[in-house]
Amino acid sequence: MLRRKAVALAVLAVLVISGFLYLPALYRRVVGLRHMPLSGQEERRAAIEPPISTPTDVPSKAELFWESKSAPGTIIPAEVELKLSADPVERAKQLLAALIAGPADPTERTLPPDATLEEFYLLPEGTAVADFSSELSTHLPSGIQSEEMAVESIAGTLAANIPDLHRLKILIGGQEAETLAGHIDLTGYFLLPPPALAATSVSPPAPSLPH
Amino acid sequence: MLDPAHGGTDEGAHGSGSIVEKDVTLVLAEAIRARVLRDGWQVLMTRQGDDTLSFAQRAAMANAQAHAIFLTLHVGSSGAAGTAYACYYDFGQLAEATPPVAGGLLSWETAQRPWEPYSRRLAQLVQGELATRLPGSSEQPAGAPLYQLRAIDEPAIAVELENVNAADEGALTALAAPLAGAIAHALVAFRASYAAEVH
Repeated sequence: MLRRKAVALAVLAVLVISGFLYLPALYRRVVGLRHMPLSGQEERRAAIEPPISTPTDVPSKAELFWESKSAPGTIIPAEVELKLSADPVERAKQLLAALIAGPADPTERTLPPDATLEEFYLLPEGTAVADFSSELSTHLPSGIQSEEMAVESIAGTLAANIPDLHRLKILIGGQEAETLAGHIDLTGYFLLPPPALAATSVSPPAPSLPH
Repeated sequence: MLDPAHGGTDEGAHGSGSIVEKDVTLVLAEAIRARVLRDGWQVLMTRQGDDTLSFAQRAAMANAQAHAIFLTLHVGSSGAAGTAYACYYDFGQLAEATPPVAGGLLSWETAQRPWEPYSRRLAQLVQGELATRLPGSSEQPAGAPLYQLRAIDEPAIAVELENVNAADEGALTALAAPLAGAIAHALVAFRASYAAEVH
């Protein structure tokens, strides 16, 4: 009995000493995290939107639509290497997360960096429903042109990378909104691919399962 | 019918300085009104002060006028400074629209639909003038499902001037004269064909 108590005390002592030895390193990591150069928007995204990963992810070349640098006010496709799921719903979430995360050049951005995709649904007959957080409305630069580019970039990106999508409904905060940010009508369904972009995009590749 | 967008509690876009969209749209509308009166138009404005008006109230004012043309004025916050563009409601971007109401009634939500070809032509004419008077402006108008225009039962376009982040309001209001000139010329060109076809 006495021997068991001695062993337990020894183990406890080892744990306490280990804890004291680890404490400075833990403190340095906490301080380091506090000083990481993350913006508030990035911190928010990291906290609520972890990277979407599925068992069927394969590296793919995706077409994401952002604002053209040479022709401001219009959007053009950019080829981006992404890990994309074979499941169209997960694939759409991955694509829209990458679209929001934005291009290397922030002036080509079409969506607010702190907007998030809350949910994505795929209904029969190729109807996509994308439900975004309210930041998509409240933090979008005001104006007809910026709202139209936002919608076209979402619609164009989905149509270019997911086959058999025919129309898109955009929800804000889980509900139908009259407008995106005061201008563009969100009460209807947008045609996919967007007629204005139909000529700029190639046919969407069919997702494939990894071998 | 000239519509200075926003107003009252709806201030519209705020610039990086002190510029507020609702103030600029009113100045632009007054300049355009003064210019097109010279061409013999009868001009009404949805607001002449800092009034709060819903889209439906603006549409009701426009739809109460026979043979009117509706033009709403906006100031954007992201386009190239000193440019402007005209926009019409493009029903072709939507997968479906509210079906016409039976019995000869007009659906409020899609009152603009039969006018889309005229609105597009007017937007083309305005954009052509804007391209020559405000360098850097596109030569083609934009088509977009613009919520405000869908209930307007007459040719209707929006014109957006860029942008609200100008250094001061004077930099934007200095564009009122070329903007007014572009719209006035386009309206005269539009009137000839429109009157012959519709009235």
